[in-house]
Amino acid sequence: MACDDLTVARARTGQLRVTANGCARARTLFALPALPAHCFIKGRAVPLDEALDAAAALLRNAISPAVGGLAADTEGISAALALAERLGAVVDHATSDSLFHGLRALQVTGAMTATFGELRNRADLFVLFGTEFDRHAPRLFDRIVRPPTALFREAGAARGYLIGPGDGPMPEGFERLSADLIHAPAIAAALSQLVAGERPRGQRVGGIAMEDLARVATALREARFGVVGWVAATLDPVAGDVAIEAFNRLVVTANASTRCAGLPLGGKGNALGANYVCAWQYGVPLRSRLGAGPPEHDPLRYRLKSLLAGGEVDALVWLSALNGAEVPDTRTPMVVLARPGQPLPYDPEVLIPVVIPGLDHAGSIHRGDGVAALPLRRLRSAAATLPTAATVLNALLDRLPASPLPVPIRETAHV
Amino acid sequence: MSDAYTLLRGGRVCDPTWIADGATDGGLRDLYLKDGRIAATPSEGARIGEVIDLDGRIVMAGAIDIHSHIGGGKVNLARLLLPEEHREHGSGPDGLRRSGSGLFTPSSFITGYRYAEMGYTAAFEPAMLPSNARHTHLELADVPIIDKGCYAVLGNDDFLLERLAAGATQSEVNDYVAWILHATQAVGVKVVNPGGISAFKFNQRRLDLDEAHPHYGITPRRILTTLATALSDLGVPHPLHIHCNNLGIPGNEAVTRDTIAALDGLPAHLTHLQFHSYGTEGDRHFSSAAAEIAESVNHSPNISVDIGQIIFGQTITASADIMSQFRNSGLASPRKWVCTDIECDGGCGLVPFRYRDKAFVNALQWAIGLELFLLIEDPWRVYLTTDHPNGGPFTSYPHLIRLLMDRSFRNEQLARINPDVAAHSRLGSIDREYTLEEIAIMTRAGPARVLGLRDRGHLRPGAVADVVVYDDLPDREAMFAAPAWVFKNGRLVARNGELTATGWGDTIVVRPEFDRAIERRLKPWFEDHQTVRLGNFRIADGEILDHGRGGLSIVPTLTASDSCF
Repeated sequence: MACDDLTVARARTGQLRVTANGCARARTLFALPALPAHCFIKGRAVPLDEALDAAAALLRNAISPAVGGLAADTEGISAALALAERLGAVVDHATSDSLFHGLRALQVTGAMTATFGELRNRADLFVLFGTEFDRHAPRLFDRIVRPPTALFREAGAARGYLIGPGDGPMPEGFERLSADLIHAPAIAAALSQLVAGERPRGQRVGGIAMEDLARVATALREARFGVVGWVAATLDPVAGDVAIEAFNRLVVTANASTRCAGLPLGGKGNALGANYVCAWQYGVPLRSRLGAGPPEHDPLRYRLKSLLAGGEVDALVWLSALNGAEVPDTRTPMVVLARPGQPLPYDPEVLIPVVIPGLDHAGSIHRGDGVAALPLRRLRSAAATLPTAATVLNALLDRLPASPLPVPIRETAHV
Repeated sequence: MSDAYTLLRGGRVCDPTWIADGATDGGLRDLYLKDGRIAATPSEGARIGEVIDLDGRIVMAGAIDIHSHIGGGKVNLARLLLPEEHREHGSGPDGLRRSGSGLFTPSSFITGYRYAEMGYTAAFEPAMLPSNARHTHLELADVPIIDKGCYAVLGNDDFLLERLAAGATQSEVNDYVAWILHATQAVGVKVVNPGGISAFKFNQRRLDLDEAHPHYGITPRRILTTLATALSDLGVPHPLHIHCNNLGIPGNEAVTRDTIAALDGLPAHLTHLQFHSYGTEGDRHFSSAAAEIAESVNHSPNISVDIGQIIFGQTITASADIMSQFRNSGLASPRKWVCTDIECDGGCGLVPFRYRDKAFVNALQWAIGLELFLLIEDPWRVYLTTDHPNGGPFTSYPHLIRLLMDRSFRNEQLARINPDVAAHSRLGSIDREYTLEEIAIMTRAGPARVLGLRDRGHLRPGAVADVVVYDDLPDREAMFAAPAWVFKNGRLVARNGELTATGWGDTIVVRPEFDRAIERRLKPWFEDHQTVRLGNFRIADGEILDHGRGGLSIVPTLTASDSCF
């Protein structure tokens, strides 16, 4: 989600610790020690300049390069995209499969959604598709479903349904309708019909009894502001987009008579931010090839995981300054820019450690609902000797056959 | 600092503010550029670096687009919605230009290049939701060359509505408005369908000027007048930028005229007026009310407007007015659209649209826009816009200028559109042709004045050296599409419509004084009701300055002695 209400304590040693409002993911990230780290060429410690030279040599001769990972702040992502443009490389984020379920649905049907702040104050019914909400959207319930206060509804009284596999205790006011999420499109389609006052044929859809679905539909019609939410990462991996299209149709149908909004959940490593930066700088989403002529977007052909599996990449730049971008286990020659301590499947050709945005340097990142870009601040100085990802990527750019980049028209501000 | 001047010798300087000062006879003139500014004629012996002979070409200040959706979450979502647009209109890197794509939602770098190549040196993003302000500035930081500024959208934000309902004083509202301007790094305030976006969240589908909001009980009239008063009290040069209620609905001309009346002499800017000038006459109950609206504007010296001219072809409508966009979603072409309720702050609606010249409604919209341009008499109060991308892309401005300057060209176009519109429109009977000087006013001096940009929009000594030189071609579209020279801050950036250099412009902001005690009320509001903390909501100067991509330029606030409008 990218929450901005954490309380972070700093020990004398410089060690950070989340003391309030954090989820497991945040606690892990902030607890990462500020390790001293070296650059490595195939496991041999080298100075930064030597590592940069080796990286540039590797990339200079690449025919089908790629820039992946992209778990970084806005500035790091921008620098990575600029490098990709120079190289004619494919760009993709480490966790873009979930992102592209939503994006492909958007490109077919559009979307009707609402942001965290709107729903916190307004939503009185939640119909949530997915499983393991604690893991994928750890603070969904304490920040949005049951916040301490709400403007236009009783804060603690939201009701809802969880549709998906799983068992275990349910949040108060929630009911589980057990189903395999492979049936999510059919379930959502049946709900749309029921909300529109039609009667779908059959007794069950996706394992859920029709009368149970009818109750959900009635709840959506009677809600003042209903929510249809989903964890994209838990949908059918090969047809998540079809499910999201069906969720969107359900939301639009409900809006004929009352208010309702879609709520995509999950996402990590600033995947949303990486996609946004690519969209505004190049007009196209990730899974595009940049710099080899006009930007060329193809969500299937330029899925980096597939390209790597097919051996279609001959040089890979992998950026993992934040959590959420595991370095791929590939034999593709690789330049890894990673936070110190990032697990590596093997020693890459070049490894350059970078500092962590929001711990070691300032910047910005996009929140899970996309609307708010949040500021990141520097909270410690122990790792100050390491460069930022943007610094390393810009230095790499300088080592590659260059065209002039824009210079300031006026160097100084007259504030 | 350099001690050499650049001399632009012998141009026909078209700067209406100079004529007002009695400083020119309209003849040929030399312009001296130094350190990014227009300089006074130097004393003899001064070092002249470069001399460019203009041979009597037309010289104007850099053009200023007062209303163009060029960046922010809404525009970016529009890019993602339409990969087909970007597949068709892309360009690779060429050593000078970065790669990019898009026609009506161009990527950030392309946006800056295209504006500069057309002689535009500033553009204002008119719909920055405060909750989306940081994203908007991050995007605009990647728009090269031109200066840019943003209007913060207020008037549907729950903080303001709740405070108004609770009986807040005008001075409390003033402090809040000023705080928002500072916190979001904005240069003005826009109100979009006052109260209506919020009412839609309570499932109301339409809200008239004097209709009570379903939750707060206050009226759009109250929201409008309170915000317009706030900007006037604070001395913010750009008056309230108003997107009226009932956009696109036949008969909405009444609410538009009532809005002007409600302002009762307070300065205000009515934006994309074309979409708000519809009557209900005729067999189809959809007619032009351009004459009535123009008359109302002509008699209201406190009002400025931009038109939002439609241009035939494919585009996308992008608006904070989710109430209207949801209503129009059935018209989406291609059939996909986006509506989002945002952060107790506003909304976002995206509806792709194809304006067809043979369609009655679209043809009439086209005619209404041109009628408004031609019937509003004072070029100082009407500005050239297509409400990019809502009426069409900003790259159609040269075509639009030709429609305004060339009556026979206009009538040729009129003859091609839907015949019922062509037969009944008064457009064919309007003889007026805009002069070059009037174009210079409506695209430079006028927008600069209404935005409070004292050193832009003119070519007097001290002005920022944003200078555009045109060949005086009879085909005004060709003339304005490819200026002979474009200088930004004194540096040549385009020649014959082709980019020659790039760089970074400024972010233009306004910073009225206010009582910081308002934060004592805002801080708990953010903590109890928002999902971002106040300290993280506010955008620091460093976030804009630290990347070396242009400076911040602060528009001075007006004082009692300034002639306001």
